[in-house]
Amino acid sequence: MTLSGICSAGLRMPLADSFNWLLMLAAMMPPLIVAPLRHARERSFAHRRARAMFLFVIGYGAVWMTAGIGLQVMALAAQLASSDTLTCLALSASAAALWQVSPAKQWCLNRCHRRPQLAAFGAAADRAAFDFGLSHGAACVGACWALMLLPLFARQAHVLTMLAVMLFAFAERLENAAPLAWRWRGPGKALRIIAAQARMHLAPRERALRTND
Amino acid sequence: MAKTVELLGANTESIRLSGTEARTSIALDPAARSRLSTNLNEAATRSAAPDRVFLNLENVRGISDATAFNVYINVPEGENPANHPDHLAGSVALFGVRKASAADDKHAGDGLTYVLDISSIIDRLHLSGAIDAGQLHVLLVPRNPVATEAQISIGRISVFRQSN
Repeated sequence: MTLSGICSAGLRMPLADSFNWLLMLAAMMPPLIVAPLRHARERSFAHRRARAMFLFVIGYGAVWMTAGIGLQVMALAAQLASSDTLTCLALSASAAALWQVSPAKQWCLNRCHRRPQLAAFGAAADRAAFDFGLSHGAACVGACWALMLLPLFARQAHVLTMLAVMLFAFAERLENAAPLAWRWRGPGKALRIIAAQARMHLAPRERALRTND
Repeated sequence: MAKTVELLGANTESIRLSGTEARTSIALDPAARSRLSTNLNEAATRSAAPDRVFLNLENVRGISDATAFNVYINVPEGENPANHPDHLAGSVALFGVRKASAADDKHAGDGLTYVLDISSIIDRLHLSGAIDAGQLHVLLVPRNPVATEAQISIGRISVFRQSN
């Protein structure tokens, strides 16, 4: 990449890439914030519910938009180091795999499970909802930053990678909090739920077939 | 029909439980309180089902599982709560609170949440007009004095209304 290319990419990033990043967040994050949003809603007075949820989303979104700058810079740096997209993708996949098994990832996932007490009245309630968004966003960035690099490099299968990362991130949040340790962590509970649902749906058919025999 | 659950009131800051008692006040939201009063009035005249009301002790944290305490509502100032069993919302034992308060174990460190049914107490306060004051006074009385080292805290005490 030439110097003018780097500069134009740098200038382009704050505008076009920020908008793309925002779109990506809007597409990927809703399933991840259903539970904390519900917490903010249930812990607020009826006339403050929409406001509390809005402030949570603003706080959460602000953290992810800030993190987006860092991730875009990392992606740009990787592209400068190697123009081969596949190499960049392999590097980001390795980083994601290493982060996935680390205790630091568990530390962040544990904080994704946090449901703090929220003030109910006045400015304190607004601040509590916003702070909850910030802290949940920070935990979410910590848990997902490496996974979120993957769609940035998967140019050809961008949407598919986004979908896969979203499903993986959603599924791993179904796991309970756990002690910090080096170990593989993935969507075990989600897979067990899918298997149990499949068995429940297939069992009546099998029974009916046996009865017919 | 789906039941409606809404926050009716809450205290304004977390409290520490140490020594022989702890007190806090729950401010009730005027609009929610009005809906509750309307329901209780209608329930009395039309034999409709009254709303149920629950006291939530949210995010109870600490390192002593052996702590137990009684929760009273609106015990008259200066009186012995043991003489007012009709104001007793319930008893709480903090079994498991230590593990639930640890951030990096099998819990996220949020502590425990306890829910006490205070429908009958609220009904009596409504009949006496005391609920119109817009505040409930909560008194926590440990069975045995709680040491400061037990670090028992309650993140928020709130009241929820559930319509039937």
